[in-house]
Amino acid sequence: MLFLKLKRENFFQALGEFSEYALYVPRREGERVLLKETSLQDLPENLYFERTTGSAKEILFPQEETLFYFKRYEPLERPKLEDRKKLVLGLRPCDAHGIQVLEDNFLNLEPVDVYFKRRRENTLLVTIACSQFEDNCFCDSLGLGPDRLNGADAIIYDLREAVGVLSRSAILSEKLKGYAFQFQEVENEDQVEKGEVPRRDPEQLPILSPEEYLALISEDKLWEKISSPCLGCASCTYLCPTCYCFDLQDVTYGPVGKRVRTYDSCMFGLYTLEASGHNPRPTLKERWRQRFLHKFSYIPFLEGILGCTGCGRCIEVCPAGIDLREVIKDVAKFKR
Amino acid sequence: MWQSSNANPYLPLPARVERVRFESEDRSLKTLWISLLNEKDRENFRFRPGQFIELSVPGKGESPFGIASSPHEELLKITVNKTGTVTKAIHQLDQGDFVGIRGPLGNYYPIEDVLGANLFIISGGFAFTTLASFTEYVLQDWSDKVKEIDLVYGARTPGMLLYKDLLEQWRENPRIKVHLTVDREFPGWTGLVGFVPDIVARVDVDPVNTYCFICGPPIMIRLTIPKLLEKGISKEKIYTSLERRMKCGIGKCGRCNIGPKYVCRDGPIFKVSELEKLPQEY
Repeated sequence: MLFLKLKRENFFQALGEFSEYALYVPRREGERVLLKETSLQDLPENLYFERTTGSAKEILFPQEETLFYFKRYEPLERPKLEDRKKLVLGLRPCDAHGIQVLEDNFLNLEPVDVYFKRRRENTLLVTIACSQFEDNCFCDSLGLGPDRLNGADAIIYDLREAVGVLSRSAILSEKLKGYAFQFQEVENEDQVEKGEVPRRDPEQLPILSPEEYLALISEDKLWEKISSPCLGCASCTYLCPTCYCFDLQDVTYGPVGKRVRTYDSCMFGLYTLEASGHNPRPTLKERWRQRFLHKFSYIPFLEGILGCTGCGRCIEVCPAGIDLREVIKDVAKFKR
Repeated sequence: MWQSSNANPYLPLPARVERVRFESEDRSLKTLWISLLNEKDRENFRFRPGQFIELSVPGKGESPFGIASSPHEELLKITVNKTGTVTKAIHQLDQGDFVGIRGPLGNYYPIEDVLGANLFIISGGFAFTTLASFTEYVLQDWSDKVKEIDLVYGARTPGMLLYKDLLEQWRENPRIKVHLTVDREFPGWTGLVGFVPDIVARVDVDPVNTYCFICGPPIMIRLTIPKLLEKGISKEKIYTSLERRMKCGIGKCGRCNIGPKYVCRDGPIFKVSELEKLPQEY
């Protein structure tokens, strides 16, 4: 990893080196903050970006994408891979943690997902250390933090007069070096100067081991209690940075068509409904159990990291007012 | 940062339907013989009994099916029950129609792990597909490396039994004891009468040196396992193949898991001793 310090004006100049990349930053549009393509001139001087309403996953794993086209009655199929290079600036460390979970599913566990891989290779993710906590976020309660690199290619620290960049991307390091007044190789991200990082006494959340969570699978009363206010709308899973479950569907236009991949959700009954009529997860009780245990037991088992980033989006969006922090506490009470 | 792979696991290989046949008297089950169009794909497509494919009908989608042919056959055979959108479209396919195939997917019945033992193969209904493949494969390639082979296979009626041509051949083959059963008496039926678990209970096998392979409807599997345990067969020696709704077939899309195990990637074949450690979510 390379830690670089740049004067503010030089940092903006350095971004000019990425002319072959489309620049994406969080932008407010009415009530929502979306990742939008922007020009260098429109970047805010203070490098402050609001947190996006949705999660960053859409940049690598869009809500809908075409996997290939076909002509019916003809054995002709061709894949569609996106080649556009993107520099995504201004996401948060929690977003980058979510990207890490997605990378494990799509890249590190065989077989490699070529669509995700191509996008990831063409994307530079530069996060910014949070300058404040949001209303419902709790990464610090999960042992994560508002200043972590996580799955990003680089993270920016506001050092008042200067901009600090911790980069693990050869491309970024190379291009920024010429504009930096100081740079050095670092082993550990804790060694670098981070400026003022927000600190608070985090609410202590009882996070159990993946095995301890798995042991709670047959606690019907627990899952009934947790799922009882839930409406099954699945908004939480659409906004969650680590939810990657998807559906594959064919769309046709007369004799031509395409296979599309869209987000799907374990909160929907159709998700696991079999053609025979049998459904292994027939009610919200089983679906909540799946959603919770996937994040807190199965992902830690399979990938070695927590499947929750503590971003708090599921809390903000829930029409029934379910608070994941309370769920985590309720679940821990059932620990044997 | 991650392994490079040029293969696109979502892209079906072009294939063609070579032959179709109604498999059951009620026409709900249809068997298709399929060939891959490209020679290179045919060379690379190596499967073991127990594995499955995702069959695409362009415009309708894709569904997973266990491979019913033995690895030595030139054409891939699958048997499809007409239930949903994709399977209805498959039933309309005829000789010469184009389809897509992804696979082979999943794990397989581990014949190498059971050499020198007796095999007890148990199946019911149209789930017989991969075990038919396995039985034929064992008889062709491993016949002199295993001891006794018993097959219990049952269906509701004689007309619902799959692959009657194969069953006839096996009945003539001294290497295998075939116990065919139907749910109740039928005119002209000379085989056994009764549900699979009850027939299994009546078959005499050596509990110490017998490996069991079960595939059937969930209720049959649930009722058969206790009968095997009563005989004194260990949970380590009972393999069963599970089914779940699937999409990707490669452990990515998230729906077929039982606890941390994906049926498509870690299965579909599990030992009963492994299943015991998983949540009873199937």
